[in-house]
Amino acid sequence: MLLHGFLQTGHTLPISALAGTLSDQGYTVLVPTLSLGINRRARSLACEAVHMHTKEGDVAEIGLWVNWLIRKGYQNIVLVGHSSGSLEMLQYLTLNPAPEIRKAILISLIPLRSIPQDVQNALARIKQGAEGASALSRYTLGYCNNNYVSPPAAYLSYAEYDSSRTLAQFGKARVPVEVIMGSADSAMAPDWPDKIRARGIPVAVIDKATHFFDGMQEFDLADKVASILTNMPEMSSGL
Amino acid sequence: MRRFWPFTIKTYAIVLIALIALISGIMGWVIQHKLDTIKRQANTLHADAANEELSYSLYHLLNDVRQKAERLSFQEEARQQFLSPSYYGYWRDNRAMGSGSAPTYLQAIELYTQQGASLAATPAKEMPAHLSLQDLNGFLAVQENRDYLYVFYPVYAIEGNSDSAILGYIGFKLDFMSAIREGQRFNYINMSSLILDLNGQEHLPLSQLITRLNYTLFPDPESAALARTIKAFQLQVLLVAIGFAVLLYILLDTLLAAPLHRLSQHIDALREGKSGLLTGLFTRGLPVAELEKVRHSLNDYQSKLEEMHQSLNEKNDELWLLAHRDPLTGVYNRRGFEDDWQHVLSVSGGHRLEVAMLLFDCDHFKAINDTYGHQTGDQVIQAITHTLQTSLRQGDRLYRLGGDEFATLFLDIEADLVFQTAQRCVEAVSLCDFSALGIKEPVRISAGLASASGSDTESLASLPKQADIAMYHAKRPGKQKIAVYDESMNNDFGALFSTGITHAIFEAISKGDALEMHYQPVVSLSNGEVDYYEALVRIRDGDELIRPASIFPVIEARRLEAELDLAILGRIEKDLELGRIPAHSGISLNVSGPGVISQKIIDKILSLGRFLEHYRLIVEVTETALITQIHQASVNLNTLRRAGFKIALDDFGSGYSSLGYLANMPVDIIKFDISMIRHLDAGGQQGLIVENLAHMVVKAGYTVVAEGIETEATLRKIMQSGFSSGQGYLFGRPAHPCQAAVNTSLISRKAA
Repeated sequence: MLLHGFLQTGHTLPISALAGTLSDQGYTVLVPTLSLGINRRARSLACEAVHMHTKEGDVAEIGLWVNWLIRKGYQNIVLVGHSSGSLEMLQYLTLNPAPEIRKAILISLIPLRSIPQDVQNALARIKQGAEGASALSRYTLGYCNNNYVSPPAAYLSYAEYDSSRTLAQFGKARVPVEVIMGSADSAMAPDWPDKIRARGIPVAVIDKATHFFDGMQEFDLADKVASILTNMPEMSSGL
Repeated sequence: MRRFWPFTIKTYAIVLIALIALISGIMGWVIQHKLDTIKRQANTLHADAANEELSYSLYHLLNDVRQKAERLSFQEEARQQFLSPSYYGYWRDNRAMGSGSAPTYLQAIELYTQQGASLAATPAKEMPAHLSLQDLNGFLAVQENRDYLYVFYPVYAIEGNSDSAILGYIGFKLDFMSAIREGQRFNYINMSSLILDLNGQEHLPLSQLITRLNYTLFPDPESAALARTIKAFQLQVLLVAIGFAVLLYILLDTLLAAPLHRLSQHIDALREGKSGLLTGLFTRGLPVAELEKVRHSLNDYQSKLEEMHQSLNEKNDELWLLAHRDPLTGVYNRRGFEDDWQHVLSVSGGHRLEVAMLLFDCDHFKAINDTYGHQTGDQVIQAITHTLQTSLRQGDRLYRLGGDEFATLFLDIEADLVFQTAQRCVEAVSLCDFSALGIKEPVRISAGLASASGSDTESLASLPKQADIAMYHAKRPGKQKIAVYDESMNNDFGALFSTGITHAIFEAISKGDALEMHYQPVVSLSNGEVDYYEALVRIRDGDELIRPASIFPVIEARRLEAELDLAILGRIEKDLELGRIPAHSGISLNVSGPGVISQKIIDKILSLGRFLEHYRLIVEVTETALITQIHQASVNLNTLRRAGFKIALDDFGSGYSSLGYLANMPVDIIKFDISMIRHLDAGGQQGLIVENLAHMVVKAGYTVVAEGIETEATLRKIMQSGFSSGQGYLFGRPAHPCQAAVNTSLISRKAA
């Protein structure tokens, strides 16, 4: 199961390309699009749209899709996430994941960029009561630069997961995790792969790759993912 | 109109140009009419196009809005509003309207539920809170003087599937005019004029929109361009037509009118005889071949005409010369004289200009002609002409009026000078040697001179007559050869020009009845008896008696000498027959110069020979008559002498009185002229000469008779000088009938 990044859909890079490649290699691939509060969402969501969705909601939708797979009879499930999708899958792994999940490959796993003041403001609004909690504000989140429109709680559900909380989640993950990063990813702190590795998580860094939105190192990424899958003994029988 | 007919080429050119202008005008009017029709049709098409344009524009606008609505309805965010309208206001104002992609004319967007209720508790910008079924079809309304269009579209549960359930409605509010203007460029409709006829409270259904739109049209650029093009074309055609007309006019004028005018001038010049002066104008070529041909023909015709004219002039000159010149002498003839005289009259008439006329006449020219023949006579005339010409001043014209008569005219010249000229001429002719022509006797001319002032018109008119009178006066025996006219001559020569006297003379000659012979005794100085009577002619005209002084000028002028001689001889014969002449006396018959050489006269005289038995018959001839025709005269006179007649030489001493001639003359009696007798009477040297001459003649054997004896003293002188006989008033005047001589006793006494 492959999960898209922040406000994207399953049809966006690099997930769409990776899904195609893996499908071609014989893997059954499920690429869901998170609703993000919109029924049957099929398009990316703009930063300026009203974001009432929460990270918890997203994680719940991951659980729904995993269960759906299991109900379909799939026993060996590998979760592949990209960017915020990786964060949400990581969070899912910390919460009682299904035993059919054999592994998680988290691509470009980087905490969403947020401004501490925004977080403070959101917290302050929540404290203002119902009106404050429902008031829409503009926040900086991920690539949304002071235009992420959201009620404070919904915002905080993403913004609260900073580096340390993310790194801490690795320890709580109940499924083997491997991380793939781009060496040229501008959103990533230089020591970030090492910090992950420090948690005992294998990190593969693809040279010259960025955040994989541009598709430049698409084949390297696919090869890496395929390589990880190939090395999984469960996957050889689970195809 | 007839007054102007025929018209000039210029007139025709102007008419042609006017016709072209009229046709152009009609064509212009037709074109203008067509243009107006096209313009009307174009305006109709333009209006249709504008209508279509507006319809299209509305369609385009509505389609555009519908597409926008569709696009918006496909947005997941929008659709989510129907399900979760918590933040609908934010979405509407910020996501739908505030995205920056909404057109400026879009005033508001509103979402409505399936039931038509607005998702917003308070719809924005006058959007309806609840939609009626009518509203779903769209409508227009006025707000604050602006026209707004409201349109609504269903949002289906499944995108693009109209069969699926309706999720709700999306409504747009548009600034209609801005939307129209923004959506399309208008080619036909003037958008600034577009107005919607809508009152304040009215909700106009969209379906009726087109009927309530009022507008004006842009001028149809194509029609305007076409009209401009046609106007420009018309102007060009007009200019070309004007240019063509001017060119046509100039061409017609240059190629036809001007050359024809020149030809016309040429012909006029030919007619007026001025072609020579205008030749330069007509030698220039003409630009039209046919006219050039006419010009050449005209020039040829002109040159031929000029040749003919020159030839005619030459002929005229010849004719004039023939008409005005005397072929024999080369001097002007009578016609020339008449012309010049008329010219003189016209020139001098009324001016104080002295005009003089000099007439010459050759004495006894007829006798010369008859004696020596016409050829000699002609040569004499030529010689006289030459002499006169050389004697006249340079420039004086000599005229031969006829026969032996010449004339010349003088203008503004003193009478003395004219007289001197006359003298010079008369003298020159008298000195002329005619012996080369075989003429022995002298040839003389007489001259008559008359003058008058130009201011005296009457005298001037009668100048030829006066000169004639003067000339005949000069020709009279014993007179000067030159006579200047004076009024007294009129009396003497009245007969010459008196119709009554001339008529009487003619009558007397033709019938003889009126002739009256007067006899004057010629008395023998030896015994005092009448030797004979000289028969002297008179003509009876009623109570008046015409005397020789009046008779002979007429006779000589008319050359009637022989006829008069015959009539006189007839009269004398009658007197003789009737015994009116005393028996044993005698009659002396005066025979003229022409009579002496006339065989008829001689025969008549000879017929009188029957009276010789009882009468002495003497034939008297004048010296000049003999001299001029001496040969024939001599023959005839000798015949008469042989028949028993005596011949007397009359008026001896009044003419040449040449003894040389006298010796050759067949005469018996010499009658000394009265002038000689007067010289004798006066004594002195001349008297002595006459006395001795008389002695000499007597000694030569002639009988000598003295004329003009009026006194006893004269008688004594005569008798002393040896004269045989005497004649004069002393012995008796000429009388009719014949009377005896008186005072004859004086002779007896003296003789004793």
